[in-house]
Amino acid sequence: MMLGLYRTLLYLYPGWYRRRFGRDMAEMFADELAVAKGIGIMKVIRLSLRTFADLLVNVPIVRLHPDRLTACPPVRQVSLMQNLFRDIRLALRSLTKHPLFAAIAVLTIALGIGANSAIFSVVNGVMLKPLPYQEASRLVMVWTAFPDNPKFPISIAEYLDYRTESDAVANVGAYSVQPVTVTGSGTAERRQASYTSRSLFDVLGASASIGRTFSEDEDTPGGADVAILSHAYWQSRYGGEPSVVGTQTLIVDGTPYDIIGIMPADFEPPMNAPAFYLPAPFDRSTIVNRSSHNWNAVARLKPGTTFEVAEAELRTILPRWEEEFAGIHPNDPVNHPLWLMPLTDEVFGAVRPMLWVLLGAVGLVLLLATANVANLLLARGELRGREMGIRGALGAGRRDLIQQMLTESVVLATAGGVAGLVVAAGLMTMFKALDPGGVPRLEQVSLDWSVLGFTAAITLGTGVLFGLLPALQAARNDVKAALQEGGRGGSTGRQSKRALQTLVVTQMAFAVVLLIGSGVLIKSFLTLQSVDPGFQTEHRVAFGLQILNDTYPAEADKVAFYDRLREELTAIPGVSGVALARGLPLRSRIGSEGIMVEGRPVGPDGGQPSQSVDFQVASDNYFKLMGIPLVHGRAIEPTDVADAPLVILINEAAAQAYFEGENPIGQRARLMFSPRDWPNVTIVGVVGDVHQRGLASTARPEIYLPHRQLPPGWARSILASLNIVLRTDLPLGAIAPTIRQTVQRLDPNVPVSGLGTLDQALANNVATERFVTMLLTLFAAVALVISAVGVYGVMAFSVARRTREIGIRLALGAEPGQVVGSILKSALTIALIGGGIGLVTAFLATSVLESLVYQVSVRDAVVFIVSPIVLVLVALVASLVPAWRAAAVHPMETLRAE
Amino acid sequence: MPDATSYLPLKPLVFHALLALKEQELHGYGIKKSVAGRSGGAIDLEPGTLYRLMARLLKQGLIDESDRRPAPESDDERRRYYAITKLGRQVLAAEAARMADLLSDDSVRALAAEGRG
Repeated sequence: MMLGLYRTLLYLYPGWYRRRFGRDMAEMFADELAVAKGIGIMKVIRLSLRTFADLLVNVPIVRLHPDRLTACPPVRQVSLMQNLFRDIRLALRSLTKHPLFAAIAVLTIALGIGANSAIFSVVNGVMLKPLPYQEASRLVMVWTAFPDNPKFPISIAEYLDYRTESDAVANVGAYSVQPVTVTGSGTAERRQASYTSRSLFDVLGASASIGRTFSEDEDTPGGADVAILSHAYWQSRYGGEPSVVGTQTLIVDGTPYDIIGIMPADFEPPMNAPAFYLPAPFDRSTIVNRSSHNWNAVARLKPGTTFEVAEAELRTILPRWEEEFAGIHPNDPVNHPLWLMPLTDEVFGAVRPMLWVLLGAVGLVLLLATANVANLLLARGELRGREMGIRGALGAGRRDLIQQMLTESVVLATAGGVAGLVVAAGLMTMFKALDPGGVPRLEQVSLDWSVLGFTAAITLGTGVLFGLLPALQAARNDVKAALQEGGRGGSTGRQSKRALQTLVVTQMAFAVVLLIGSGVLIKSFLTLQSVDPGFQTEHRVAFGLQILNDTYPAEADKVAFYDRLREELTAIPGVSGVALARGLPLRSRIGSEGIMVEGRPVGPDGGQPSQSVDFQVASDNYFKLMGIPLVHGRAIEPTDVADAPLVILINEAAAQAYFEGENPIGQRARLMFSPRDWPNVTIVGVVGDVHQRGLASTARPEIYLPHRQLPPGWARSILASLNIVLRTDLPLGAIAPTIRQTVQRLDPNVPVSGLGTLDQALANNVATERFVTMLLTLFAAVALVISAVGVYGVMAFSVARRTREIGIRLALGAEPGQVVGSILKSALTIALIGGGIGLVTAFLATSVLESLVYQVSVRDAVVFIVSPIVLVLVALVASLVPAWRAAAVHPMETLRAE
Repeated sequence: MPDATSYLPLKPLVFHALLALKEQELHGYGIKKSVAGRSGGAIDLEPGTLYRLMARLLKQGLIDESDRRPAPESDDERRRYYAITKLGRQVLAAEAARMADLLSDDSVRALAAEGRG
């Protein structure tokens, strides 16, 4: 298909040039295409875009300077150029004579092309550009899974074992991104550090732009403490000063690290953008714990090895591990496997359906716009029948007439394309401002050469497309008939009308498809937004902080710090309550735990659910402050201190999963991963479910531990980094500085992070959905307007042509109401046919929305009924003005004008 | 015959293409591959640019369409092969000499070392 298109486009070259080189150029493109097909569809698309852009660049040069090239016939080309210039001059003159027509056409095309270029630039920047790693197609992510969690980071033991035992992969790199506190010059700050294996840089094919990456010594336990900075962090903290490498140290969580290198600006590990990289040295022989899963791993397949081979190999490794590590958290091919995912799927998988849907939608909008301009041209061609007739009579050939009309439409399209680039630039600014956060690499999107090439291609395409029909129409005009009928057209007029109606019906159909698509998404979005998160978000402000284990070594020190902080925050005027939690719902993730109810048999047959539970840590006042309802028992109290009896609360989902039909209050349970000597805890309360991980995911079983009753090992890490939530009537801007000052006063080395309202967290949670819904609605609205203009145009045209007939009918006694009725009836017919076709198309096409909707059928009955009705109403309204004008026709004047 | 130095300096694209043709006669795709390999992938020619270059070099008399065919096993019936002309060789040699002169300057070599970092 591409090759055929290319061969056709070669006709843009002058004939002498095409005859000499055309075949060879097509052969060459065929060769390149064959190679690209072997690599993948993305490569084919990129190659095609490049080749078409290359063609569009070279055609004008060949045409402008043919004398520099071989085989150029000296005389002929001058007349060709003159011809082209003459046609362009004619086109410009004709368009400037009808500025309103030209403006409407250019504007319509600009909207269509602009929207397409903008969405394409996003698709291009996000998905078509290769990932910034060497041979990214050979990279795969390594994940593990649990029965209730299909995608989970792997443990360091699993990483090391896989690296040793796999023959399919050349190397594996691992990294774990964690928030750390950087102290030293100025105030303390929270940053993301990536604990990184040395091999990661090899796997990704990256080297430092200044200095070096980790040496082998630094990658072994006991090695030097060294750090590599990301380009962005180097710029922001050190102003891009190269001499920091080898001279400066970075103090991370109290430990100094020597800076040994700076990474290039475009480097970051998949899915993360840490501020700096610290070594992660491990010695396999000392690692016993296989259960701590917090490492991302990327593997590079050996050359010639396919993804399927690597997957098959894993299936042979896993049973071995199941046996080898029986008793110490073994892998299990079914319940706890390792599995692989191509990196490109990993990065783009989530946004791919959204972007394709948007690209499809703007494609439809462009088709609509094209149909509208074709309509305008057709109607005008009708009026220009006389001009064409005269030119024909004066000796212009069919070819000349077609060429002139086509030139005119391409000139129109080019103006539209240029204006479209302005529209595209505006839209892109809007996209970036609305960035839903989930689109990778959105910030790198720009109007680059591929986008310009794409714009040029669709501009040319639309120009030819909407010009072709009117051009053929004009050329078919019979000279004699055209002159005789005073340009009103007889049989050709009927043909024009049929063509016009067909175009409008098509428009209506597309518009209905877009209306239904956006309707489904709007309904899904409203459903999602009406989900009760399980807690109150209004008037709640939250932030996270990190305290240093060096400053607060004991658990009691940490608890005392939080007590003082809560006291001081509560004292701020306008604050009516403060509570602590490990991670706030919709804002941050919390860990998992398992519980075993006392007195029940252990093991898979004993009826103990084997699923994990979300593991929340909270202070007293947390449930009241968050508005989470207490269903049974009591909440966490200030008296739940370290030496009091150990208690937990569970949510309703957990009560359901573990105690169906029983009273959970007073039951005792063991925390599965707590130290062996840690006593069992007593369940003292049941609270309502909250959507911890997002509105779209259902609430999971969850347990709540008082923050003063944690096992010591857990307390050290969990209490080092808690979230604070406060209730206040003050706006965020008013309270934020006071919060920062309060924390700063208590300890200047404690950074405040993620300060924001829970309302914002709720809004961010649906940002992606809002983004795609808003855009699709915008496109549907544009489509509706365009089709309204289309209906108006075809009705106005029909009324204008029938003025005489209507005049006669009125003179013969027809009521104005009948005239209006007949106009509205034909509008209704068009709308009904178009709407019907659209309904069927939408029924078949909306399944592409499947992955984008939440608890709504993509064939939602209400949407499928309402959308065509909206369209019919719009069509009727659009034809009111022409109908009214028809009714106002004065019989005598019309007849006299003859 | 025109003076070879009047064509200098050559654009990198022209230099690479002539260099490729100096070794053997090639068809379009062959020139693309050879140039891409020689430039480390930095120069990637699409058909439009490549054949406009051929048309220009033909006009300038630096290359010619070949009537000889390369070894039969690598021959491709459909394609037009291109060969460097005597003038083309002279121009290529003159350009090489110009670059070599440039490189014999110590300060240029020092700069080059710096550039390689």
